[in-house]
Amino acid sequence: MSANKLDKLKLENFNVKWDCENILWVIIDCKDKSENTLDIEVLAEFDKILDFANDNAKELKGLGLLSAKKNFIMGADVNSFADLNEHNKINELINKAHLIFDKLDNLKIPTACGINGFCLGGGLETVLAFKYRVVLNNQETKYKSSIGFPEVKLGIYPGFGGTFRSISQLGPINALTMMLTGKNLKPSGAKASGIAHKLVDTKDKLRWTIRRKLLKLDGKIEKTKAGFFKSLPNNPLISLFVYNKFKSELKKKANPKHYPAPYKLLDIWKESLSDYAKMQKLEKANFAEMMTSKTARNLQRIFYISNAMKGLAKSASDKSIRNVHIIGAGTMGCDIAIHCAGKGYRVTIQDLSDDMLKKAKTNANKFFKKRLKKPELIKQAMTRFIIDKEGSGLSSADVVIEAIVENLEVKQKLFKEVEAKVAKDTILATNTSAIPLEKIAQSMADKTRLIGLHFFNPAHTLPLVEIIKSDFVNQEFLEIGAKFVKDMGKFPLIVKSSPGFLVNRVLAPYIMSALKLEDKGTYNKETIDKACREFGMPMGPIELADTVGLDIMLNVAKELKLKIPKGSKVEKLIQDGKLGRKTNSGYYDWKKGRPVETESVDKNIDLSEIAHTVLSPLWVEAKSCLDEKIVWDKDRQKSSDLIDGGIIFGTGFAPHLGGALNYMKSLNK
Amino acid sequence: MKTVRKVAIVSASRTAFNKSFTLYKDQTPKDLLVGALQGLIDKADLSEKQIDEVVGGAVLNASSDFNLAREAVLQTTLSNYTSAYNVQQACGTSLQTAGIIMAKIASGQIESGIACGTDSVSKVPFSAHPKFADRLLNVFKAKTTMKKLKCFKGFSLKELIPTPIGVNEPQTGLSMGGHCELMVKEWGITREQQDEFTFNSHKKASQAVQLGFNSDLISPHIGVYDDNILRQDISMSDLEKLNPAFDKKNGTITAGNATALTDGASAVLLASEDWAKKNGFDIHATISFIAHSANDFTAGDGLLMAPTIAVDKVLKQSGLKFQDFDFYEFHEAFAAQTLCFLKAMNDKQYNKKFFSSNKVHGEVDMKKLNLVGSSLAYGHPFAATGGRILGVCEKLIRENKDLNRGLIAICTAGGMGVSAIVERY
Repeated sequence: MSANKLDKLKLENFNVKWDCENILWVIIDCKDKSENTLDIEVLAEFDKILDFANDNAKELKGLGLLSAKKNFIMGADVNSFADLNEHNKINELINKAHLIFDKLDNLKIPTACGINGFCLGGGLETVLAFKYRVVLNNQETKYKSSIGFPEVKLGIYPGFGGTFRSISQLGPINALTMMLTGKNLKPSGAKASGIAHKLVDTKDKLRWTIRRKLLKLDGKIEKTKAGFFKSLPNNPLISLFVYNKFKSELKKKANPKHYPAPYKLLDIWKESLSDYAKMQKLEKANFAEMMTSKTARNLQRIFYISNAMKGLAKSASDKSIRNVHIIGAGTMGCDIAIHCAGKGYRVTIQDLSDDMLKKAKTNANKFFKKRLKKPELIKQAMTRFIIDKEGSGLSSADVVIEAIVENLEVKQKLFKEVEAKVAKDTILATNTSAIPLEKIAQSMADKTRLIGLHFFNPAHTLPLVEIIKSDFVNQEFLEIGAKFVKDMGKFPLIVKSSPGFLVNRVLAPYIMSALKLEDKGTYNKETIDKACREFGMPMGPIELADTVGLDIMLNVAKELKLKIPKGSKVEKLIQDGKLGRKTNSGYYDWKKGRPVETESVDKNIDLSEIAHTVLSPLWVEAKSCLDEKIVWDKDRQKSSDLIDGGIIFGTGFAPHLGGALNYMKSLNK
Repeated sequence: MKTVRKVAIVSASRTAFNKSFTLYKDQTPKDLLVGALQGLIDKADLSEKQIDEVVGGAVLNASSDFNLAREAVLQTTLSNYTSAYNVQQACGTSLQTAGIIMAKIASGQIESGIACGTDSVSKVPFSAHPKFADRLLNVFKAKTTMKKLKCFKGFSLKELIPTPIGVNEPQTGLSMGGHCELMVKEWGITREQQDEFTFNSHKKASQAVQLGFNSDLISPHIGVYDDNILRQDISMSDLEKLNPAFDKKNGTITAGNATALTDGASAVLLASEDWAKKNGFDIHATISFIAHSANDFTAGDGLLMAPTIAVDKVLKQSGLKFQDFDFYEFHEAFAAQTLCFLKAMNDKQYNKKFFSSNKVHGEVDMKKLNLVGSSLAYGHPFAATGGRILGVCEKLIRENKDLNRGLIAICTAGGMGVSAIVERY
């Protein structure tokens, strides 16, 4: 009987079964998609299922939700909401969604869900309307469950009832931390915060744990409100303190003018506290404004771009990369090695100098201690960081990354030697930022295997890696290289082998223009840096020049044939040995790795105008990169997107503006 | 048994072998087995596929993992329609499981199978004192509180001390090392010979590791890629300094020339020619003969000498001579054990008594023995060693044109042995 009734629902994205113990199993398996996402159709089908459950509440013991895919629910389908520009249309959708989730929250039968892999945004809002949540905590790191609210990163806040449902169940501290930072929780964190009621170690156990719970409940519906202590910050007196604390933390990270959503969310909480009905009303009322803001549009654009960049990493080859051999234990080589070992690769690091290798090992140990915390994880990571003076790692290396001095002859000699020792399908990569690959490859028997992997300093934190494509490269090697970069958690960007590639090419004229302006003496360096920070750059250009090193900076500028006026301050500083942060003195004096500001910022001047003067060479150069087809893009559809992505992830260019070219376009309008 | 259909060694993978109580100290034997199986699945692209049989075991298995192999399969990405069961023959386990699968494939019962084994000394299961266990069972059965209390009549605190599952021989009460010391005395093996044999095993393994020999045989599990028992910088003087571990006064076996306590797991995919070809594998090696044996160690035969009988059996089955092989993979439980084994094969009286032969099997070219080192260097997670050796054999044949045929021998507790022949396809 039940099977017939279920057939009538005509579901395409769900597989629903009424089992012999009267549990209604709802398996989400979005049609024609590799991941589950919530769009209007999926929500409408889910609504039908909920109605069905309510209609049959007398017979049913409970409803259990599971995913048929490797991940649970990746969130609301951003694509399907992208066209929504009008407030009333957004409100209509939001109201509909709230009705569905309220229905779920008040379902007449007990509900439980089993979460595997990613459960993000709208996915998390879905499970928060369930009464019992089991989370998979498997050994395998590849599909580790990860739960969070990434909405702030898209310029919005949770809009499917996530605000009041999380705050009421997890308490304000846990819930607001998740929503304001956008950081994901691992299973143990999910258990501690109250999202997970139980953790299990195999996927099969999700179903059976839910079954046991639903049978035990026997139709009784449990309350899920947070306990006394967790809800304590909702107390008006305490809330004031908590509010200020959150706000000051927020201010350190995001400018409220550029990123209004987290501030709005915090205000919504402050206004309603434990009045959850009011919170729901406010959540709905303010959502459309956030959704249609420029910031949200631009951040969503970046979200698409970052996916497109990851899309560059699609490789037909099934070669899996495990062993990474790094030559050169200087800052760059060492940082790359540490990052790779931290990400689970087996790294052998080679250098002529015992001291450098020793230092590298100490640095690695320090880094892992800070990052991994647990002693056994640190030990495991250290077994993957192998000091290899003789270069015995070459024979089993899947990738070799060279990070030695920028000297053509030395590099040529090295690659000739390396080529003789590695397997035929080993990818050889150079981290050069200046020497054309064509020249380095001259010494090699098989030139097609050389690619560039251009990391940015510090390599373990900056998210972009430029993959340099020579004219003769074997496309397959290039794609495997891109996949390797993606797998190590970075954004790959494939760039032609031309001076400065993309990032240095747009950065150099920008920094030079700042230095020139400072030379003129109209504005002091503090003012110029402040202007650019206010604009949305993560660091002022003059501070950046000091950080990179003035000598390196000037070399790049020369490489790019930029004009450097005679007698300029940079040259003098370099002559005096004041190279910036590394010598503790450059434009700024540096103390404990921080610049000391000596002069005050000029008042009564238009910072925005200064920023535009200094930054305009950046977007002008970005436009020439577009015209010269510097960025490789298979179908030439997304070049300007990719350039914007590269500049954002490579330089930190104001994300809320959606990229340099995007911003330039908006100026011309 | 003469094979009817050829049985291919398709692919092999293992976890790194780690000294017990180090990097795998929180891993149960089942966790390690899942790691080895998943490594093989990823390497051979078996996800969501159904394999006819997975046969595996552990020497030190917790009773809660009574269905070890099947539970491990359920935790991997193999199809849940893959059947699995446990087999345990001490240190011969994963070679024995390969034998079972081989027999079924050869006779056409199945097309594919995975032989596997796992062990962890770090997670040795403990059992309650038998008396105390009896009391607990009686408490469960008793219906009234009085009766429940009565179950503890005569209780002694000693009963609370749990005992780990031991590896001592139950019949003799002697440890494996203790038995091996007896063999040393019987066969007149010196401490020096043992240390030198150990030194060579480490040296050969070091060389192999330097050349990346193991890099595609080991799949990383919980982020660990490398064995950590091998001492690349080993020296004879280091080995000479060690004190005897079993017979403190007159013994010759030390922690150096015996295998270390090891955690790890291994898995080997075997299949019929048809299956391997259909699934896109190149076949390089086959397993063609396998034999098991036991001796009467309780009456005084050396506990770890039974492999001699197994080797004699496969030689007779195949019609080959002891010298007809391009390489030999003899498990090194103790340096002394392998040395006694080799000496016995060349001993007239021994050959006569055990093989009823007036001729001796003779000696083998020591240069062909354990080309890449063996258990002394890599470690010996009991049930996983057979799988490791099969993987090594397949790779040796695959990568060396001159190596066409190899002989395997493994000794096991309980006075048993397993031997097998692998050949180029």
